[in-house]
Amino acid sequence: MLLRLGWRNLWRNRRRTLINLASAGLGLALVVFYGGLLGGIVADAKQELDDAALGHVEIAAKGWHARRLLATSLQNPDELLKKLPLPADAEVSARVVVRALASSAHGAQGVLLHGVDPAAERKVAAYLRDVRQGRELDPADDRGVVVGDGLAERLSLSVGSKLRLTAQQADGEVGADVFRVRGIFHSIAPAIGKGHVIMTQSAARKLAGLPAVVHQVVVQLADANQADAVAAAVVQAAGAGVEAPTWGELLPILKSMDGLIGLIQWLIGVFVNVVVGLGILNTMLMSVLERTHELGVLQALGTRPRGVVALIAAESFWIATLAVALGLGLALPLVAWGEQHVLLDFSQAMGEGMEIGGTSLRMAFHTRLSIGGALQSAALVYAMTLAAGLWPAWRVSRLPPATALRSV
Amino acid sequence: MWLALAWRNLWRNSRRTLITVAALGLGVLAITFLHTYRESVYGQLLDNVTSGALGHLQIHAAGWQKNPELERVIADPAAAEAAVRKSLPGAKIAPRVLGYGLAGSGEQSTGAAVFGLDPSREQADLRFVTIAKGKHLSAAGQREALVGIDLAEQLGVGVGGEIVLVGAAVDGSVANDRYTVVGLADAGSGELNGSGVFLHLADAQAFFGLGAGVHQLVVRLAGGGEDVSRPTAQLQAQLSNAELEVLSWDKIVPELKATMTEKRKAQAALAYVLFALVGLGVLNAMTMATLERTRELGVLASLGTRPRQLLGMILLEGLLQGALGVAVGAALTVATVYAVGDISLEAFAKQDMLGIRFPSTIHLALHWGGLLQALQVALWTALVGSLLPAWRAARMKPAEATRSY
Repeated sequence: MLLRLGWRNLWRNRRRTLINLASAGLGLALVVFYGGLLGGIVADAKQELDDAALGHVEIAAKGWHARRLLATSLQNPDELLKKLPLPADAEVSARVVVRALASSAHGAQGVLLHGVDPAAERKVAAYLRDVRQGRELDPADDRGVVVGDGLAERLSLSVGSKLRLTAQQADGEVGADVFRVRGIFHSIAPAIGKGHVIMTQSAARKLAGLPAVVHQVVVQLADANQADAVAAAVVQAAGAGVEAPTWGELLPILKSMDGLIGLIQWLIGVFVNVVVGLGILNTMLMSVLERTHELGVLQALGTRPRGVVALIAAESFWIATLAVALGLGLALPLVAWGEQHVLLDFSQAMGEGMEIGGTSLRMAFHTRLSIGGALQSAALVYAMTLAAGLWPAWRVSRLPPATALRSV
Repeated sequence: MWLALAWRNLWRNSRRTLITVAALGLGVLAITFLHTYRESVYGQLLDNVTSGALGHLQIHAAGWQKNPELERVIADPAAAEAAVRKSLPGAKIAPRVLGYGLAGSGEQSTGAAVFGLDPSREQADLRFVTIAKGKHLSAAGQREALVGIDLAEQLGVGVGGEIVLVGAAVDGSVANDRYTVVGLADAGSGELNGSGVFLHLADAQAFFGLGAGVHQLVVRLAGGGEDVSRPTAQLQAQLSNAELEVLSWDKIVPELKATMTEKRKAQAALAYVLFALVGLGVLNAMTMATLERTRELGVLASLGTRPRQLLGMILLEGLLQGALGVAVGAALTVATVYAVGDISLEAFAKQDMLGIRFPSTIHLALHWGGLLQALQVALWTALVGSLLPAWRAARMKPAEATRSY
């Protein structure tokens, strides 16, 4: 009955209520939409890891991540991989990693050689699926390399060009050889486009004078939250000579951005609700004062002060409920639509990727629906309208009925 | 008189007015504070960039920025420097050389970016590297090298150690030499710290066979600022040499400039949405304020007050609230900036954005540009919010209005 009374009171001044609903609803829509946008920026580490050819877990010989020495390598990689407890749906690629100097007739540039199994590597490296000239690397092609468009431009390479690679070998000798460019890939991260050269594992081993070892096993998981568990299991199974840092350790910025964005959404939610709440407080004050006489009658007829407060709280409840329906009704479809479509595109002005802390964020933003975040923001609307109703309700409920009756 | 009237009307229901002013003030606080924060960050980023690797302006041989080939040198750097001195008094100039080679120590080698710089010209507010350990290069070239801190760790070399550089000289011959590591350098970005070797300018010129040629003349202006198009044009006019290019920092890292521009636009959009919400509150409050006074306004109208004057009076009430809101918001902003002081971004420290180290602490400094923006938006909000009720009040028939209460 209380709720029905509240509902009817709500519509006694229809325009005022509609304006209130509009401001609270739009405020909520703003908060939820903004949260969806922020969430979209770091939606899923998977995309960023894929763009940068990094793993949720990266397995290497102990100490490799710190100094990346040629000699710090994993022996018998095939046996090791068989023995490791990796999830069946994980994408795994083993690499020989060599630093080298790439040179052509037009200049020289320091590069990172990735000696890979092309079929496995293309699953963990988005840029290898984006070969724009020539073709992808053939698994048996020990004379061929695939390079990025940045390096190609810098050294004036085209498909079929010769590329000289020079690297210091494990025994201190200098190894050098000439390779043919088979394909030119495009990466959203300029550093990769300028600095990565892809060849087969055996070609990289020969250039660097290495036995059948690999340096790095990149593991991309279907579920990023499993990274810690998988890393722990890998270290347990492989023994003391192996390290398996997770993406949270390798790219702390992605993790900290996750937390930061949650905080920003919460702060914006509180702020918007305070601003909207002040407007609602104004109208609640007004509508309660208008009814001082009527509420005095109720009290004179035996309604307790608590009852008066409850009556006004019921009104607040309806405002919040309608505002939440309006706000979510506006924002959720938009956010859901933005998951499939590009809502904000900065790539014209800012380039397709922004380099940040060792990875690249795509500058064409999708949104990311977070039901939890939306509900949290909706709860704030309830808290705000109740707070805005309680103060006037409390004031009027404390008036002696006689005084209240006398007011017009 | 109308102003006094409007002002008095505001305080007839002082609680309502105060609440509305508070909402406007909070909106103004949000805009000016975000503006202050953003501009403080940009100011610091810009200062880092222009005092380090980039400078405000750079002179290169034409086409070097796009295609930094070893042989594209400024053949006569002294003449170009003279042009800078003449057109931009007080500017600092640092000549630099950039090439690539393989840097090796005993057990490990890697591709490296080899820079040549003149230690006597790299000081105070124009210095490529800060010394993390050891000392800077000697004033004359003595086969000394600074190594980027991360590169030094990869190579397993420390102060007092030795590195070997192998590369190609400008005539195509193999360049090969040994250098004593005298210090470890922090060049302000992960990329350079992981790949940079810094030699004395003369040593680098000798290594690459460049003679007196340099690749960059990095210019730090005395005044500085974000927009350096005027000094750029002045320098271009003075140089008048088709074989050289003059580029400002925003042409060298266009992504940084674009990021700043886009963020400014995005925050302006946020400001308008926020104030639309505040405006709805103002609309409600002003509607109530005029409805309450229907009878009184009717009396005014019957006594000969023109509708235009009624409209003006109520709009004036709205504007006054807007102005009060701005005053409150400005005071809140000053208090907040003062209370917050420095913002630590430790989580992002040592991380690069667009190849530039993000400052780890932001010193907030008031930027009044945001207040100007907030002033406009708040006054418009208050004005638009009161327009509808004011218009209704002005159009009332005096006879009907005096009958209501």
